[in-house]
Amino acid sequence: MATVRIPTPLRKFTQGKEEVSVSATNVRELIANLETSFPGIKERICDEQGAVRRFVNVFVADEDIRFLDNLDTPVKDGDEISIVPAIAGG
Amino acid sequence: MIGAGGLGCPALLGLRAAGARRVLVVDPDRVEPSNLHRQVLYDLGDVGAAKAEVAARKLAAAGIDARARVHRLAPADVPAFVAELVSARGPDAVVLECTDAPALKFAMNDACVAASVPLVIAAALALTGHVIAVGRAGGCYRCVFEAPPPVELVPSCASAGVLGTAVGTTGWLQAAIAVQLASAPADQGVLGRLHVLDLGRGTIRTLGGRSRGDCPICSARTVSSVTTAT
Repeated sequence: MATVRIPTPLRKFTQGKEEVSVSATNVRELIANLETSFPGIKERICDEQGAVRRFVNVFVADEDIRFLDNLDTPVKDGDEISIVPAIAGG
Repeated sequence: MIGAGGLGCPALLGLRAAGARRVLVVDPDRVEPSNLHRQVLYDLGDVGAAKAEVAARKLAAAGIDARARVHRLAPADVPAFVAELVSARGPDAVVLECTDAPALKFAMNDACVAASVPLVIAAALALTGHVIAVGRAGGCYRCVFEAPPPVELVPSCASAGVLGTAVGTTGWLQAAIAVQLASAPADQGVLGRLHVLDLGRGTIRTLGGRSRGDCPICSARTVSSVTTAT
């Protein structure tokens, strides 16, 4: 299982949980499995075409997936996945 | 200093503590009673006064050459503002972006990269803070987030809340990084990295840092402009 860090704006989908455990072999599957467990969350991460939204970033072990294999970036047990949307409060 | 609110106040205190000598504070708003718990430069006697002017006055009392501009900076105005800043202060000025306006953060990123002006962008929400330094090398804000979020998908501090210590810690980190940028503008160790603060856990993670090859902003930076600027 990988550990997914849920950002503040998306915690309403995870009943307030800051971290959830998800089993997946790559980021695409991880987001799909997140959606199964927490309906509605995928729409906030991905656009209608299924790509990660432009104001959201996904990091696998602190590395931007756009520098890896994007949604096909492998995920293994123990990995920490960070979903990081732009925030704007000040 | 663009924005003298929840982030700007602690960032200004951080700059003061670091020995800043000249500061320009830009903010359009006036102090409200509801600001006082987290906008720590202000007190009850300042309610109704322009934040920029109060902040500048309090910095000036500490011996800093502080100026105020009571002005709402629109994204379209940012290139001219940055050009004016370079003209008045030279290329060694550092901009701290502390507003709650997503479009302004991106506009400031674009203009500062184009003008080779170091920039530190910060944001905070609930128990989370973001800080990123943008300089004359490395990635920029658009390398991490490609475009501003739609307004309807951005929770505000008013709707999601924000902890005073979250903006306080984020603002102090922003000031510390600004000081580092002022002394070492090409420090590859800090540029382009997104610092994500989690005040609930007391952690800071540093993510990314590389320039995205297809970034329309910083990939257009020429080697000569970087060399000249540094």
